[in-house]
Amino acid sequence: MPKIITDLDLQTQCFHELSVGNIPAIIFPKILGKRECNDLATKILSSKEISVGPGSTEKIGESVNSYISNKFEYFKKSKSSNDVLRKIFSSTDSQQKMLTKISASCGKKIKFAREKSQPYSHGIIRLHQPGTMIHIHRDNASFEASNFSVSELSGQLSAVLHLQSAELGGRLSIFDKFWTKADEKYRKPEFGYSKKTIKKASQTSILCNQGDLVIINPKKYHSVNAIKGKLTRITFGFFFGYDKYHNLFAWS
Amino acid sequence: MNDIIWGIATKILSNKSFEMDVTHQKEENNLTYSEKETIEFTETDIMSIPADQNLRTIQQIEQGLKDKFIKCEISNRNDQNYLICKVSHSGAGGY
Repeated sequence: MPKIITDLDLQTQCFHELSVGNIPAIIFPKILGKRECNDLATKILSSKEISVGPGSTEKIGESVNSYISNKFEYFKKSKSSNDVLRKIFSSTDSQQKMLTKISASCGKKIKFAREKSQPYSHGIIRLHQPGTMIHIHRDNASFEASNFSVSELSGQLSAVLHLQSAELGGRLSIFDKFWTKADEKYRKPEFGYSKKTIKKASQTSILCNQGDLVIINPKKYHSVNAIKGKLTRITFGFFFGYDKYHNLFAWS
Repeated sequence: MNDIIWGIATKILSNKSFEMDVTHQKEENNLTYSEKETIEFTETDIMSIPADQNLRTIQQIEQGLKDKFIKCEISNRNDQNYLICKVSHSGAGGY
């Protein structure tokens, strides 16, 4: 079962349990109120900065994985998308609330990563339209983004704030199976992996509520089932991991 | 349009060639390909591999290609039965 953390129950142990795969997720319920989330969703849906990303996603912000072969472009675009994110979140400071929650739980200050003075993307807003889903995948910068300095960070975790939930569907499934190199034969050319990777693996299905911050170990396979109803599923997320001095850095 | 195959680079043979386990073949391909092929690449978008063959090391090829899921756009097959290809990273395994 996912570990639900309240402000009175902050434990670094939970993050360790998540890292080693003993629990599927950590949930910080309602770190953002309904009104704040609704205001943000309205702002995001009317933004002219939405672009198309991998895995049937519309997005605001950049992710390293879309620029594996074009680092220069990644940093150029991240610089401008960080300004866009700052404007969107100016009234709620959601990024800071997420960082504060993670810092308090890990007992470590967390900062956004930089590479030779260039800032990494400070997160990514993903919009999933009704009728879409997120196929089985895993996230692993150490393997996939070896030309970026964040690939040297260890213990990569994923933090996702749920700004607007789907009316129906859109449940997050976490499979009890870590990615291994041998699984690469099950890759799909466009995005993610074949279902063969998670054959026989047990799964935890999580209904993520509006305002919840959900932390998962992204090296475990995960997916989101079909989004149904009229509402677009909107999330804001980033990854974070430790450097060799045990400092925490975030990026997307 | 060139035939396209995808798969895993399993063994680096030189600074321009490697063995590959073919996992996917484009439906519209003109030919079919074996489960194992040897690839000689003329071009790649992988940043850690210098475009100039004389500047490449085996180690760079290992780091950039070995065990990675890649896309090969085939131009022809040479006398050694190698597929001559443009090699690139394929779609993302995650976000």
